Amino acid sequence: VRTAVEHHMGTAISITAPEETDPDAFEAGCGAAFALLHRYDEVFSTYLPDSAVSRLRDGRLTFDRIGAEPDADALREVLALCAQLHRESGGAFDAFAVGDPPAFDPSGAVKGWAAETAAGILAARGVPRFAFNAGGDVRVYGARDSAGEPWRVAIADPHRPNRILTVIGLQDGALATSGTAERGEHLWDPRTGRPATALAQVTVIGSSLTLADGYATAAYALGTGAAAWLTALARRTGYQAVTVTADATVWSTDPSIAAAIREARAAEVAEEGGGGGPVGGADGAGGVGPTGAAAAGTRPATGVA
Amino acid sequence: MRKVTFALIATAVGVFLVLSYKSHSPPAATATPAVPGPVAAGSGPGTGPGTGPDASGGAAGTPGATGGAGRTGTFTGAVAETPYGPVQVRATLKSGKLTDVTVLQETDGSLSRQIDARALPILKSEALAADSWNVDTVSGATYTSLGYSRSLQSVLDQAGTQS
Repeated sequence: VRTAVEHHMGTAISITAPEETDPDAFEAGCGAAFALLHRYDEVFSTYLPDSAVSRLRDGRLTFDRIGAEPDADALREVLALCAQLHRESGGAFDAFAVGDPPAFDPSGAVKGWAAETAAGILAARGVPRFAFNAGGDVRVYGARDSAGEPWRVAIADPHRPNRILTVIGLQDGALATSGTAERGEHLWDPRTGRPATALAQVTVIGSSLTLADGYATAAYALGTGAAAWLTALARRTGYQAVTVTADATVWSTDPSIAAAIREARAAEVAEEGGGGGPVGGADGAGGVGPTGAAAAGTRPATGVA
Repeated sequence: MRKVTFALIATAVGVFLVLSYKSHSPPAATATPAVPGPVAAGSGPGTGPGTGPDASGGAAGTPGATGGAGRTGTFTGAVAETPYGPVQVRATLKSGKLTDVTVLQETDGSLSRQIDARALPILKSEALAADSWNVDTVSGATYTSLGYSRSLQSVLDQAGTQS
């Protein structure tokens, strides 16, 4: 495989493409994608004192004047995305009420959007198949090989650093995970004015990383209300979700995913003599996934009641 | 090895999903099915650093004896400089498969220490998971430190393996 890794937007961006990828196209495409992320960081970073967002936060720049900014289009796009996520989440996502005291911070929307845009640039530069990982938020183009095998994207287990929950095969799609494990309590519940803590992690799977990341962030902020909201979201948009609560219970909108994780945990308990950690109540109750496709019974039971 | 693969179509967004998983075991124990040969098959959990030949600062592995399956041994990565300080890792391979990663040098300073306390174990899990589950990338708690990646890559380069 070919890989490229750079540090942008406070996290590592890694790009993986099949060995047969044109090396010149890969190098040029990765360069262009990284350059875009670098530029967006200079616009949206809350750590750079003179970024447009920093100036919006402290009042040196006002929203009616962003048209004069060199990256006005990008700013407008992110503001529109923030408004959409606020609307769709019933206020759980609120870029204008982050932190204490509440302040404007669109970071929860920027990373997925920027990664989606950068991945699009790589594709436009003639790299048809790749996995683009922006600090744990993943966008894949095409399949991992010419036989059409999907990219294999693992979902990390937030409670056990050396383990993963399951592997999702993904082709031309996105998988975003929001949680505390990444960089501390960085997600905020605007309704309580406190860090969101009921969930350890939310993963959303869909076609666009922009929305998958935004929805994951919103669901994380919803906490105990996330399951109902994600169920409605899956029905409305087809975006599927996997959540892990603070007490390690796993739930998914897609019963087959929940069943797979539950079986993997049961198998683990059987092999390790019960040392495998709590087995969550991942029962798809309330889930609306395509139940007809669930084939969770294809493997013999593992002997764990 | 129990392995189930099944597919479902999330129709509304046209995302093709294939869910596949293996039994969840320690990485050293799961490295068996894809790599035929007595070296991998005989290994159990607990093969941490120190069980293989080692030499600081360089590749010390022995060539894999089983059908060109890759090298076996413990390899020390190059020191990678990062904005937070140097990072260095040591990795254990069995027949070319990554079975353990140890951080030899972490960055220091309170801020980076705080970051590393979260990041490094997670990065280790990414490396191990990517090998033992044969995955391409990991979503979630992956604050992937560039320095760590570089040092680990140098290990893989030395060992002539491909993750």
